[in-house]
Amino acid sequence: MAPSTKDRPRLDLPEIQKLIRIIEKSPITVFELEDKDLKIKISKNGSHSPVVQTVMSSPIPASLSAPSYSAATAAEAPAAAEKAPVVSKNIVEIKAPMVGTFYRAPSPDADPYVNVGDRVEPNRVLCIIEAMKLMNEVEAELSGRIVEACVENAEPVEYGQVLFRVDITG
Amino acid sequence: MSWDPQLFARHLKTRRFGRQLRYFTEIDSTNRWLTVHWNEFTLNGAVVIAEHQISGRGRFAREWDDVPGKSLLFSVSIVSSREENRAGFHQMLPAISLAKALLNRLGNDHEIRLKWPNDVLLNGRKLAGILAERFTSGDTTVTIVGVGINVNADLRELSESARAFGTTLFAETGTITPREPLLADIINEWEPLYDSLRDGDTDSIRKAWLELGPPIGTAITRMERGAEISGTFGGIGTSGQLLLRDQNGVVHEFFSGDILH
Repeated sequence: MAPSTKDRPRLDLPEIQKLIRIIEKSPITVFELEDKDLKIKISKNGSHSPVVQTVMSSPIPASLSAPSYSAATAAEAPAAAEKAPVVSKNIVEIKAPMVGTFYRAPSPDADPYVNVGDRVEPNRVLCIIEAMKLMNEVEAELSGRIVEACVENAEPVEYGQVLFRVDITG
Repeated sequence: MSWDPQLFARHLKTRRFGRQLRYFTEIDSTNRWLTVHWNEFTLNGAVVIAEHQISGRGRFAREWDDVPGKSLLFSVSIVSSREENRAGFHQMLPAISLAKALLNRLGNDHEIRLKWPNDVLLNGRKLAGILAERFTSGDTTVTIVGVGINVNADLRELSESARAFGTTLFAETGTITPREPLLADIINEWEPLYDSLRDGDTDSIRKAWLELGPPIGTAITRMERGAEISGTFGGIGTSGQLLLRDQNGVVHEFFSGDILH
């Protein structure tokens, strides 16, 4: 039975990476693609590397999904395109539950909520993501030690982007 | 300046919002208090109101000065299931509600306009500050929306920084506005908007916002961390994000940043 177009697989991470490379080399400055439940926009300006904005057309999940080792979804493309995640079985990635701006501290002159090397417990606040002037606390959902803070303060983050890596044996 | 609970109750037409209210003459911050005490209330839309906040906060703990007794300072707690995911709209609701309440009172004598995402401009000047914070507790998501409105103060009573872009209801209209009916009007508008949002009807929220926002096509500039992009207002997206159309016709979506009209 020939597969119908309805069963056509969604763009996966390698395909998106391929797309970025093609657009990077081309004279195209803005590329947009919209599918049933996925919208990708790749744009570049001048000497900067391409900026990828991926918007799931389904509403943004509010809660932090339990970290997992599952295959990267399309929404992770921005992070993954820069650096392939190296995930050992003791390291859990804490991902952005929404698109927004990442803050490591409650105010510019305050200490960060967490630093690399800190032990965290469930419900410990790790950072804030601001989306449309709503300050969303992102909490740890597991115990462990922060081994990597992956995003600079005040940087924009995409849905699903890795924010921290936590060693659950730490 | 005191608070008359009966006057407030006479104007309140809601079923849940504002039915549970706690009043303080002075508090560190209504948002902070509600962040700790939200689960003492049994109804959604509990309101905490204060005459004066010792450490009123804006975004990033910026100080938010009030004029004691002449501001309307309150926070509302909204408890929803963890899956509820229309967060981006929650802090738009008080802005829409305030703008509608003002429109009903002032009609077309004054320009009332929203600025993305949640600023209320009266005659082009900022009238209110809104700070929304969200956290999870077990299976529930708690959103605390703090609102500060400059009501009866004279412009000279505002801090210099607030005066630069801000205004007060008194300064614009020349009349003293009783705060109890004003709060009731806002809460009366807020509850049905919240119900629509809870039921997933974000379209009606977007429509309500757009009716009060800048006309589509208005020249706008979006700024964040020194980066600037100019274009025209293209509406708001399905998650509440700003749509900006650049000179090449490309539509950009933004979830953060400051907007200039």
